[in-house]
Amino acid sequence: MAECGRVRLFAVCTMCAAVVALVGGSAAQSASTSHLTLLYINEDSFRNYDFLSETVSSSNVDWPVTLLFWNNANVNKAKIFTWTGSTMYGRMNNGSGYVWDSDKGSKDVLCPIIGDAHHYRVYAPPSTDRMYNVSWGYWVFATSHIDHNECGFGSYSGYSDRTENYVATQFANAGYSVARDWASFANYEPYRVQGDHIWSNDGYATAIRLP
Amino acid sequence: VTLLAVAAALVPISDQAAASSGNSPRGVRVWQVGDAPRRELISPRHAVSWIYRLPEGARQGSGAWYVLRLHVKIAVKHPTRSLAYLSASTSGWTAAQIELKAVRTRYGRLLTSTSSLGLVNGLVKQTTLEKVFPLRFANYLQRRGVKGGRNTLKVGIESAAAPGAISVRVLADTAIVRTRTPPPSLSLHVTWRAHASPHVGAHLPIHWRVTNRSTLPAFDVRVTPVFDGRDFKTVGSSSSVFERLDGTRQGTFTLLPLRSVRTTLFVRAESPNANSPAAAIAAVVLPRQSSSKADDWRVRIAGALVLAAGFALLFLRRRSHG
Repeated sequence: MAECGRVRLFAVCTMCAAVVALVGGSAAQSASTSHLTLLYINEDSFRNYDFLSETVSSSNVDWPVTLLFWNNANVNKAKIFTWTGSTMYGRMNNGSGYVWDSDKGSKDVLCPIIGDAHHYRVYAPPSTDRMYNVSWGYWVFATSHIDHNECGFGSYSGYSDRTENYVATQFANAGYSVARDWASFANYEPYRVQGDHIWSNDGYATAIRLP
Repeated sequence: VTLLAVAAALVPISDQAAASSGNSPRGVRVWQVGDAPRRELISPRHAVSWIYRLPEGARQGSGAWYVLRLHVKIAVKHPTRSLAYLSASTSGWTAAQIELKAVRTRYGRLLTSTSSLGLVNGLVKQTTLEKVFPLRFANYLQRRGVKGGRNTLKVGIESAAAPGAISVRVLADTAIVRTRTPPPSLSLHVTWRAHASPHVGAHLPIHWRVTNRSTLPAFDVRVTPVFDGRDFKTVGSSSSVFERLDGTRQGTFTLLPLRSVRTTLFVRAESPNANSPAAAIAAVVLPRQSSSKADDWRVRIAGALVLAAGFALLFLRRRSHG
């Protein structure tokens, strides 16, 4: 009987640990930045970070905008990975007022126990899924990060540069025109740890031209 | 009955298309598909392109603007499974991206939705039960899509649908047009009593004037004051909306300062097919003025009482001396 109880206790503890790991891996904690601003291009504008909720606040940010898809882009065309993650919120204005767009993003691994998943979220007004101006054509923007050991132990998220480069490489390998670190998006984040956020971004976004 | 209701909700696409084309800016047709020896049928695996020439030194927006006028006939035979995209580009720079989606209704008919976005008409969504229907679209070319000399207009479809599910014929009046009309461009002018700081509880009128500098109409223009709700509240209308804006409109917002604060408030004009100008007002709201009528009466009554008390005192003294 005692043996049976021990096995049951072990099973319960294992399940609890698994749940904690899963929940801990997917729950997003708020982070803060001192570089939150609006960027303008012709009649369009957007925030240079995405948010944990529909509140514009420098203490409610998730990740910096690191990718610009342009010329003939839209949200669907910019996403290349199979999986999605949790929902975050981008803020923008294509001339008809500031709107929020929610996105789960595009992710190459669902929830890694060991290793990295590359995850980027793509934003555009929900009514159009793209914006247009005479400088960038049809365009959308994206934030990026890696999720490390997301469903394992010692999980963290961050290193926006790495996923920016990884996504850029995927598009470059597929024959698209890619301009790495094309322009400053005023969101330089030197390496720093803030809760489960590991900031690392050079502040320059990569532009990927969709034909 | 349901089918009739669905049909009634549908926009007759030909009428809408005609209306859209009416908003295209007037200009000189630089080149049109009809000038080319053949008209083309496009399918997802078969994009078509034409060569045309622009004058040497042609640039987008330097006195002249170049606009794509696309006129196509779309034929849908099967559902598209997912979104299909009809695109048109000039020398590789996209000026038209039109979403197409065809689904089969529960009555077995094909229902096709289209969604286009551009600077001439903003976002235009249409649906039709027709299997073959025309679509007109106009948009200002990208800056990079305008250069002197030889240019290429390319029209193609991206679709995961089965071969033959969707095909597009580019009609002869598809053209590149040169116009002096810029894209709808709004300017906003705001005036208020800058010489006197507003006080808590006293109305603050803000006069605004919004002008569309283009001869092309700006649609669904909304003018709104933007402020911290702890600092002000609007008295009366909190926004002005114009379905179509040609020329100038003006109006007044009246704000009621709620607390003494140094702040910046904005008036913003927005339109789906134009820019979004904003005007900032730096305001220093002073505490409530104590010269209201109620206060005046209190002072007057107090004065009258003091006077009456004085007279009474004098009167009593005289009597006591007398």
